[in-house]
Amino acid sequence: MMTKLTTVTATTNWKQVMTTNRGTPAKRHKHPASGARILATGISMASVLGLTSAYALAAQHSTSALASDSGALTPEITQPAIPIFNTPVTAPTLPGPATPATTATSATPAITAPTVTPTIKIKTPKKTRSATKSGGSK
Amino acid sequence: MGNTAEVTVVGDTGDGGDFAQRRLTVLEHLWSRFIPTSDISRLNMSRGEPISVHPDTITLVKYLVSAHAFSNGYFDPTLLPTLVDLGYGASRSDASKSSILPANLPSLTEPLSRTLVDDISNVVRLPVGLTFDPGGLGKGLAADIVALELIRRGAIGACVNVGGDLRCVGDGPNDGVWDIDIESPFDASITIAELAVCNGGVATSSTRAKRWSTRRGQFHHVISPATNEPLIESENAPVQVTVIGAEAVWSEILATTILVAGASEGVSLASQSQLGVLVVLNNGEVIPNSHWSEFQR
Repeated sequence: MMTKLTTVTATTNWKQVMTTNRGTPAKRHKHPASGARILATGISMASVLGLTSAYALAAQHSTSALASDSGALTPEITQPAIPIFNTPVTAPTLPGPATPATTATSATPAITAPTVTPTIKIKTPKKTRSATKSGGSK
Repeated sequence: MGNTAEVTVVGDTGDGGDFAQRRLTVLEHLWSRFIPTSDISRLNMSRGEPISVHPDTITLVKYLVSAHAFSNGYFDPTLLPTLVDLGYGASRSDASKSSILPANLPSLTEPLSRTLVDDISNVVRLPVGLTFDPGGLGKGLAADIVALELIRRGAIGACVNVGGDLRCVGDGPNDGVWDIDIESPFDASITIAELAVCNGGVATSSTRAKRWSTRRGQFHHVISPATNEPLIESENAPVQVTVIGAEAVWSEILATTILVAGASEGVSLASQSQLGVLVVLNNGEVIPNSHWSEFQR
């Protein structure tokens, strides 16, 4: 099986995204054709907003709490008409165990986990492994 | 969130890396306390008024409220005004960005548990005077969301690491397994543990991260809800806690809880849910719980 490995390192930087929207406003043209284009743009934007609303409705019916696959930004409306606050404010999941490597690799013979608590010694990382790091530098 | 994210995608999804970057940027826009238009900043400025938010923010709010209850109050996401008063008001990745808080923040009259959510119209109402700082919980939840979405888009495996909170799903690049190294809190170039995980979330919280100097000495970002001061770094207190569980979001919640509650009470809470825990004390002692060995290389 061919597999492709992609690693992306990115900083989550708001400024880089927003700078493209801050140009000098273009001078208005009053030619009827421009008006038609503006009208067409208005219809187009309304369509996009309609899709965004549809997404919002669909997302809340999703069975997976972590599955809202959308690039939509926050809706502009800040004052909702009549909210109905009857949703339980509880997390969609509870804490549970991860899957260790020995459990998931079915082709590998079962390995009995050591029953003694391991002694951990501070050591330098191996250079040959491709590992993801979890540390307190966040 | 102001952190560096690292995304690894196994399998040919075409634009998996670009998708992850875009998705993380959207979540940053929604949850950063340093962006005035974010859902979190708008909620923090709402003074008890209902606010429309993105569905992802509804999920975030549910975890923030539940984390406080589950941890018996040790994980407290409402300490932003205290954190700002102590000197952590500006972003560490961009000092020109500051936390958005209302002037003359009214006194808190209702508890966090009185937060109201309408997930039909995606509206949240915070109690008057209450503000949120998603902190590490937001990073863990973002890692969970993006990793699962990468799998739904066709990746064979995905690992999303947001500032040290990471979620691995599917086949890893090393014989189907994800290798994860845990850094020493005293020297990031030193690895104190090597994990092999198939599916799970790993989060590390430390008092050694995000520190700043004040006239009262060095402060760090982990605040005690009991004292409204940074945790005291005594010799036998935890300096770093790593938790491995099914999801990064709960691993982060439990890591911070253990840091605040102390090793004895905090590890007991995590062990009840069969989460692996590695605690490093200020004196250098490294203490795993019984579940940790299941993941040790």
